[in-house]
Amino acid sequence: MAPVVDLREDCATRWDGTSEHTLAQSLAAPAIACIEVGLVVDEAASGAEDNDQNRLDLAVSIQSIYRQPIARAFVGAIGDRLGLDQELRDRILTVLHEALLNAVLHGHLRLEAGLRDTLGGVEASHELIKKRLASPDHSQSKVVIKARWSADRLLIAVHDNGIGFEPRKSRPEHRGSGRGLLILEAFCDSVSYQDCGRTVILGFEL
Amino acid sequence: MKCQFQQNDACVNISGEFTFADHTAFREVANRLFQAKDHTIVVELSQLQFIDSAGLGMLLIARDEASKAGRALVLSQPQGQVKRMFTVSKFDELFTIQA
Repeated sequence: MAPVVDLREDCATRWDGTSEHTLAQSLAAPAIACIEVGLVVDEAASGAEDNDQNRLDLAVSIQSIYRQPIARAFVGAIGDRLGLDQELRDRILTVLHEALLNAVLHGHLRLEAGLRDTLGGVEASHELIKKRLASPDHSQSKVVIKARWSADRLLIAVHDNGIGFEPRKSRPEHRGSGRGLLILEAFCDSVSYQDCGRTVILGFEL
Repeated sequence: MKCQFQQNDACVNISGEFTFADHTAFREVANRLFQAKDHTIVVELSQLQFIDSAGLGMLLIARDEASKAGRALVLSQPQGQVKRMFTVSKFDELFTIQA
């Protein structure tokens, strides 16, 4: 799956950013793409290779990922289309949630895990997160989720336009962001990275 | 995340979802647990449906803070996704986990 964003604005629904409920409505079939209101998706449309019936794309702001259960709404939409059982929905939700948080906290906000060594530090890190999210520098920071599926396989790509990272250098620590990557590997059937870590592709056998 | 304390405040039942968004609620839970006089603190998880890496991290921090205070933190009855997350993170090597 190409890491480039190929959301086509002319065929996308809009999400108002207010709640999980409105996001679920925007993602409900027959939607194939959804863009949060206020985001500019400026990449050129390609997508000619895509079977429009077997895809779902979503472009959301990093502010909404922090405030709303984006992963749960997206997995619900995919699960309903594919008739997924609860065990697989739980696995997908677990890794999509982690991938979205990685994209926001590390890809975009460059948060250091060492801040969160005490419960007080955890709270302080959230104050720092809120401050950075409010910065004009992040007014157009977004994450794009692209799901593609066939009869026996589901691929979900999570792409951020942040700084990227080196997956092989991010090893599991006693407590830190490294655990998130370990969870991706354990709950997916395949995990790969593209574009200097800005895109993670999560694979599931159906 | 929803929390319900037992009578002696050294045991809490956590239900629902425990994620990065629950930092304030969990700090309040931890503060109350640490005020109890019992040596062993129990976090009952049988009704917890979902945990993320940040939730795991907060449990580890609570474990360390309990240890510094000469206390033990026990995790009880994790199920489903939570149990699998504990296995992936090798929590059985870091905590006493009651089945």
